[in-house]
Amino acid sequence: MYHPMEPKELSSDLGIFFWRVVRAAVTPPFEFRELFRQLDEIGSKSLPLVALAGAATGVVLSLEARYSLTRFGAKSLLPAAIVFSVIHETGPIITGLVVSGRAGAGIGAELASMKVTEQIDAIEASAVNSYRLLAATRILACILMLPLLTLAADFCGLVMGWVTQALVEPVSLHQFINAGFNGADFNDFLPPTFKTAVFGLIIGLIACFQGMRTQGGAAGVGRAATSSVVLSSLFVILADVVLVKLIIIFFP
Amino acid sequence: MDTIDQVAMKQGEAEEDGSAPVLTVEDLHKSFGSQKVLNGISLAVKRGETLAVLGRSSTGKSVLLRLVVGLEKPDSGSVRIHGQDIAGLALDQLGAIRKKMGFLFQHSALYDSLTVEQNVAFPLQHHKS
Repeated sequence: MYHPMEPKELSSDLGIFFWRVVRAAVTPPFEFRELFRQLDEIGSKSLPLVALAGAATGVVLSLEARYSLTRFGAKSLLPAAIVFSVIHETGPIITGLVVSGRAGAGIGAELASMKVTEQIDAIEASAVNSYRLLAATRILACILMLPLLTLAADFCGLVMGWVTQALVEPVSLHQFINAGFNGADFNDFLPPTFKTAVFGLIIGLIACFQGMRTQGGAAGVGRAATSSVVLSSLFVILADVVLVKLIIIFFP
Repeated sequence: MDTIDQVAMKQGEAEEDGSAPVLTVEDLHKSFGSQKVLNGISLAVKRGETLAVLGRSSTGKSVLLRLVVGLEKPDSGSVRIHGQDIAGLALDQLGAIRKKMGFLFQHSALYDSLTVEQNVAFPLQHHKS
């Protein structure tokens, strides 16, 4: 019978799980084949969804920002508002939430299904470290792919932001880019992009943890998938609060 | 719930030179929550012996096997393979022992994302060195 864990018990189990994954990840033999497979599964297969979400965000931002800035007589700042909003925040957070939904659910359900059908036990009984083969590869793939997916989301958001503005008030892409990136430097771009590596760690860790401790058959698989998405989305948002503050402090 | 209530042993080509058992289980206890599954099981298997564990459904046969291969940890007692207690071993150390063991799961536990060939090759590919 399924018994939900107390928060204290959950956090200590998560800590033990994380330690086992780290220890497995840094000791050979390394599972490069599985890592590359997960880079494809998490990275390239999430790309269309992330690009679409980024594009939609760019359109919405352009429409909303135009309305707000016009009211305050600052319409000329629209390109900069779109660029900074996309690169600083909406691109990374949208990417994190989309990937937590797609990859988080997929990882949680896959590992949960393997757990309830004893496939993970079979891996262990074959003297293969399941933490190294299953968890470390997926977590590392999430950490590596999130920043790259964020770049894609940023690009699509900026392009569609320009398209949306150009449809209302014709402006060339060159003018849009010049105005948007005026005054920007790498401190505006790199820290927000690389903070998504932390999002990747959160998504991979929570999804693998929920999947590999599943109990209760098909119902357990469903719970694992759901809780992977819910918890990873929540902690991505909470982590963003902390990371934004740290970025402001260390990269003023 | 009853514990394992019947053990049958078939004498095979057992060595009679007094060699130490390959597998030794001593006073093994295991509970899941308030449910006591194993209550002081002890057994020893020498090289060449075949041991059959018989019992009714849900009497702890699978739990005993999982403890022997290290998929579960006992509440108390010990499982020794070639004299080494496996309970405190790290995963990679346990792996060295598991490489010498064969284990069949009740519901096959095949890797359903792989082909039959890949299933058979799985441990071989991961242990080539």
